[in-house]
Amino acid sequence: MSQPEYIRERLDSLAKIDSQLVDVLHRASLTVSSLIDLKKRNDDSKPQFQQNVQEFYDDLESATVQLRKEIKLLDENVGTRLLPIQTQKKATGQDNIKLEEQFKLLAKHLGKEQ
Amino acid sequence: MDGFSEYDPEKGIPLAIDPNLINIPATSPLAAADGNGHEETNNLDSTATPVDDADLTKSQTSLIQNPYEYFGQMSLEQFIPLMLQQRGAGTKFADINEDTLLEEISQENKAKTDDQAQDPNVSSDAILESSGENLTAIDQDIAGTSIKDVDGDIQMDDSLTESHKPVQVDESNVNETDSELQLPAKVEESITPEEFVLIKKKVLEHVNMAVNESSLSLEFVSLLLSSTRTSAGISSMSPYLKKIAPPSSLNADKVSLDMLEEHEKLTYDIIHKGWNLRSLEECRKLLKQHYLMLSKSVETECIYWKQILDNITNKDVLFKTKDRNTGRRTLGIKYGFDDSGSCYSAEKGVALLRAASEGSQLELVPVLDSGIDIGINKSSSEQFVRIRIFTKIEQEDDFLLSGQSSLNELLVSSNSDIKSQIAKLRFFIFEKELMYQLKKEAAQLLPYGVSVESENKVVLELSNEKIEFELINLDEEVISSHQQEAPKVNDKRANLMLVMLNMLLVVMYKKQLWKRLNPNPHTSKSAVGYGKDLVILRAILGKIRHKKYTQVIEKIINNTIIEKKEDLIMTTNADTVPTDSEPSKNKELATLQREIALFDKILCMPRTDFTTIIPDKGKLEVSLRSTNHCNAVIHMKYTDAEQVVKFDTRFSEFTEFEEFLNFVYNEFLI
Repeated sequence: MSQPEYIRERLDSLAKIDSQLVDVLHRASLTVSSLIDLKKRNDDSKPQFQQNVQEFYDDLESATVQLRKEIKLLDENVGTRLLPIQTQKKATGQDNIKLEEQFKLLAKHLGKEQ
Repeated sequence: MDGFSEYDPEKGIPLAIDPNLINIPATSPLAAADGNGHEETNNLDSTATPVDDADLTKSQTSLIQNPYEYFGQMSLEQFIPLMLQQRGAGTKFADINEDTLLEEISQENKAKTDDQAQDPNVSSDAILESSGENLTAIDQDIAGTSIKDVDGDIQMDDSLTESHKPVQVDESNVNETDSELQLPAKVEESITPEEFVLIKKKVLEHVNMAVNESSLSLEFVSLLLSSTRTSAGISSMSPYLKKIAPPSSLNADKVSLDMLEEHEKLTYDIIHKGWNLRSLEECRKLLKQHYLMLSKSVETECIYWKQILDNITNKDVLFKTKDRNTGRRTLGIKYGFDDSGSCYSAEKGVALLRAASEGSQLELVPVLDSGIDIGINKSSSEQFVRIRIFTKIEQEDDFLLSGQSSLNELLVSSNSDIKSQIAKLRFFIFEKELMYQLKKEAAQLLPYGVSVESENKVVLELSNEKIEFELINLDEEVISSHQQEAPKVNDKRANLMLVMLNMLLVVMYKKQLWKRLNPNPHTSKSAVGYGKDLVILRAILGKIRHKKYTQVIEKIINNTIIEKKEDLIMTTNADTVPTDSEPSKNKELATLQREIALFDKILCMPRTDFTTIIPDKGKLEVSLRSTNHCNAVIHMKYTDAEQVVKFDTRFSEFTEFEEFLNFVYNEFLI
């Protein structure tokens, strides 16, 4: 695992919100389809329509609540996990990685001899 | 009116009430009244309607005088002059209005109530007067009208009818109005001045509104009319309307409304409903379509982040950027050595982290300065440096491949996850820079057998072997041929050389970093590159050449001195010139300094000292040094037995040195 548990949690949560928001769209399409049934004077679909609308709003609500929570977490983390300003991060230490790599190679090549 | 209030025996008793109103069946008084009135009118107006003479004589004896009957039947032309006469000379009909009439009535009432000791009107009047000191007569009037309106008994809206037929309301109705007035008086008792003002305001508002509405409708009608009868329309238009709406700009048509039949209605209803359902269906389809689309993209997004989560460590440098091809925001990664001290500017060392089209893989897309799509020259971007050593075949002018550097494991591995992709990119950019720097250095080393054979090839020629540094494209052929290659004698040497080159380039980076952290005011800032510090190829070449020089010098010394004399010992001491520098106080700088110092032995100019002590004849010190790693400078110092320095001189030619050494031997050492 390259990133800490906390980052993983946040990303998972955001992915969940994403899928929930997409589900809202799905609910909307279901709602419209039951509305069509209702318009065709099929009164049996009324409870179904109501249920769909209910679910639509439920999904929307939970998604927005989650999103707000994430935003709150983001705000809270500024100053602790996150820097409050944008910085140009320097890719330092690449040279040392290369050097270590070469040392290993050197050891390998010299090791063969022995 | 005064005429009616006083008794005139000739005219009879003036009646307070019109008997006709009370419906008394009395014909004679009626006739009498008629006659009486007729007489008066005859006196006043000759155009009066003719009345029977019998009636006229009868009226002479009548005891009662009932003018109401008569007045009610009179036309306005007769009545108005009569009224004016009654009111006395000098009065004009125009002066008579509602106010004056009301005033008169109230005065009359007052006169009456004065007779009667106790009357409710008095108190109410007093209240009225005391409360409404600042109220004008009109106010009272309005109050009166409004209150009467409320009662609904008498309509006084139209002042015109009022003034034209005052008789109907006046004296005859005194008692009636009296009783009427008493009612409002009672109501007035409960009205405070504030309420009164409020009511007044309301009434004014209503009146204003009505005026407004009516003028608006007048404008509308005038404008409408102006299209057919221009002059008539314009005459009643307000100037404002004339200004903003040109005449005859409004038109009206009469359109007949066809009532739909039951059948048609049904058809329309069905069509309407059909459209409705169809659009709903369309809506549902759109929603569904977008749902599917979005869920797909959410899925890829999810995978993208998961990949990043798994593959990117905190050491990697990610930054937000924009994909030039798709125009979407994405993440970039810095893999180059730019921030670690590299001066290579041909490539940025930046790649985009892009989700591959399949969505399951991340792919890295290096960003090029030229902006050329990487797909075109992708093969050329995957290059690496290969070192080959050729050995000269004896007695033949030909070279034989005796060793070559092996492939980096990274290139052989088929692992394509993002980590190895980053590693590969890092490897390639490093290799390219290495070749670039080798070429640059080779240009300075032409006198020492180094040549740039082609764009990607540098050859180092030595007396019995040839070393090739070549940047070659990575393709299947190269990989397979490398794997099949049988191991050779010089493979290890080539590998070690390659490792050394790599390491030295890193050291160059470090030196550059050191420079950046310790800016020297004397060096110009525009100088890009490593300048004099660029020691990569030189380090290797210098070592090889120095070894050769050492052998030559040993040979010369042996030939000229040692072999001619016995018991001579020559000690050789290979040493480098140490570069001492104070350790920096800055922790980072100190680390950097230490790291650079590790390579001092390789980077410093080679130097070998030969010391030969000749018994009784002093000491001969020869020092082989170099000024640019590759050349040879020979320092020679001869000190005799008395510690007198006889010679301290320098040579750059071996033959000169040999000749001089011979001379020294012949002169001093024999």
